[in-house]
Order: sequence, then structure tokens, then C-alpha cells
Amino acid sequence: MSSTNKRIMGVVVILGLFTSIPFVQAQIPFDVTECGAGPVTIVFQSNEIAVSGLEGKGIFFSNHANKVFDNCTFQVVQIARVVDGKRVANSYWKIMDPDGDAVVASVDIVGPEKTMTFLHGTGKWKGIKGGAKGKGVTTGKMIAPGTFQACSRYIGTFELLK
Amino acid sequence: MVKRKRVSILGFVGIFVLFTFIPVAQAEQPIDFTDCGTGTFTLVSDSKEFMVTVFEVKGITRSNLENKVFDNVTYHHAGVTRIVAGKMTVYGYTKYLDPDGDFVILEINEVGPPMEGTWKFLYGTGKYKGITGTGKHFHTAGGKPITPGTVQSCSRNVGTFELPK
Repeated sequence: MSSTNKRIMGVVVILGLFTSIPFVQAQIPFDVTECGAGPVTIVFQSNEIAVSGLEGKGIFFSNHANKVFDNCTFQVVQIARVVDGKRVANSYWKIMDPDGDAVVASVDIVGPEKTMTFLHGTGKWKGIKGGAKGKGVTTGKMIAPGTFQACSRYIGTFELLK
Repeated sequence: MVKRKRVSILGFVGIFVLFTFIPVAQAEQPIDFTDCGTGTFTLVSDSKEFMVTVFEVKGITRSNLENKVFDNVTYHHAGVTRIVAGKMTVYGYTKYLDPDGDFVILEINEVGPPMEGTWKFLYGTGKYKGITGTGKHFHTAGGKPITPGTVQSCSRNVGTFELPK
């Protein structure tokens, strides 16, 4: 490669770096507790297997100084199965901030471990990428048959397109 | 001599009465918990001058104290709200159910915004039988309703309570 070509390549690489870097913000940490409630539907239940679905609504409050996701409300739909005492569940969430901008996320649950992944964002959350690990923090008795009331804590990070 | 005897008997009776009644009521205990829940509200009067709604909320509590009183307690809250000239007045009753199945009934009155008020224990079962106590109630989190006609919020309740021994 001639020295002219090398110079051109160098300029292209540097230009590429400067063009791409500003589009992605640094990773932002978050630490939230969500509390929700709603109806649960048992589809099938035996000693070996239980299959259920739920729809919940609730609210997030932030445990972090940056207050990310504080006062966000949410709606979640979930399906779950318990086989030989082991619970596996998958859920999709709409998380909406007080301005009306929203994030769509999934949470996959295996036993006590919860993994939240951000899938989509609108408004200020457009292009959101990231997620969190979570765990249940409450163990209450259902206040009415066929309902659930619970809180979980999630700690993670996300990035936004600039 | 007779007078001294009477004084002794009265003193004995006084001490006996004190020892009989003091153990009946336990000392006041602090209580401080946050409840978060979701629910629905229905318009009873949609007049802008005098709006009335009825609401129903279910959720769960977390204690903010080391004594963990009212931690993991689920609740069902029902009440009415009056909105006149931007001022809200709320009257409600809440059933708090602990993990053992014992429950209390609490009365809440609040005004706002910002929403603040007082609460009072009215009734208890099991370990809460005979509960008395009062405290302050204020909202700590509230967002945009995730769907129309719903409410999602958190409140903090701080006060004291007593239980008979």
C-alpha cells in the first residue's frame, strides 16, 4: 500500500471513530424496585406441573442517586411453568415514565434469578440497550384468591443512542 | 392504730391494681412501612366542579424499620375521592393481610395535593387482636397511569401502635 493510500485509510479510520462514538452514550447504571399486583390465571395444575399466566400493573422506585426509572409505571404479561418445583417464566413489560415515553423489556425467570433485557424505547428512551439482574424481595400472602402482589429489585445498566 | 392499718390496706390494694392492669397493654411500638400497589378508579360524578371517584387498590408493603413490623403484608384498599376546586379529599379503608393470615383494618383520611393524611387502626385478628394506633400517611411515588382508569402509586405510613398482652 502506498503512503498516500495509508494516509487516506488513516483519515477514514479516524473519521469513522469520531462519527460513531458520539452516537452511543456511556453505560448508565440503575437500581430499581418494582412493586406490582394483578390477576393470575391457572391454566393447569398437578403435582408434576403447573402452568399459569398473569397480567400485572405497578410502579418503579429508584434506589440509585441518579433516580433513573423513578416513578415509572408498568404493565406486564407473563406466562410461567413450574415443573418438579422449578419455575420458568417469561414476561414482557411496558415501562412508562411520567412524560409518557416508554421502554419495552422482557424478563426471563429461572428459579429465583430474573434477567431483564431492554428491547425497544420511545422518546428519550429511543435506541435503549441493556438490562439488569433481579430478584424477588417480598413473600406476601395473596390478598384475594387468584391475585398476586409482589416486589422485585433489579440492578443493571443501559445505553442510549445520542 | 386503725388508721395505719387502713393506709396499709389501701396501699396494698393500689399496688395490686397497678400490677394487674399494667401488663394488659404493651408499650407503644413504632411502625413505618411503604406500600405500593395498583388499582382502578371509577367516576361517580364527572362534573368539573364536583368530581367524585371510587377506587380500589391492591398491593404489598415493605417495612422501613429494623423491627420489620408490616413487612410483606399484602393489602386491599378501597375508598372514595372528592375533587373540588383542585382539592382532593380521600376517605378509605384498608385490609392488611400478613403472611400468617392475620389481618388488620385501617382507616385513612387524606387531602392534597400533595396527598397527606392520617391513619388509624380499627380492628385486628390473630396476633393483631385489640390493636390500636395512629400515624401519618403520605405519598412517595406516583406515575402516569399505565392504562386509562388505573392508578399506580406508593405511600409511606409512619406512626405507633399498641397491642394488648
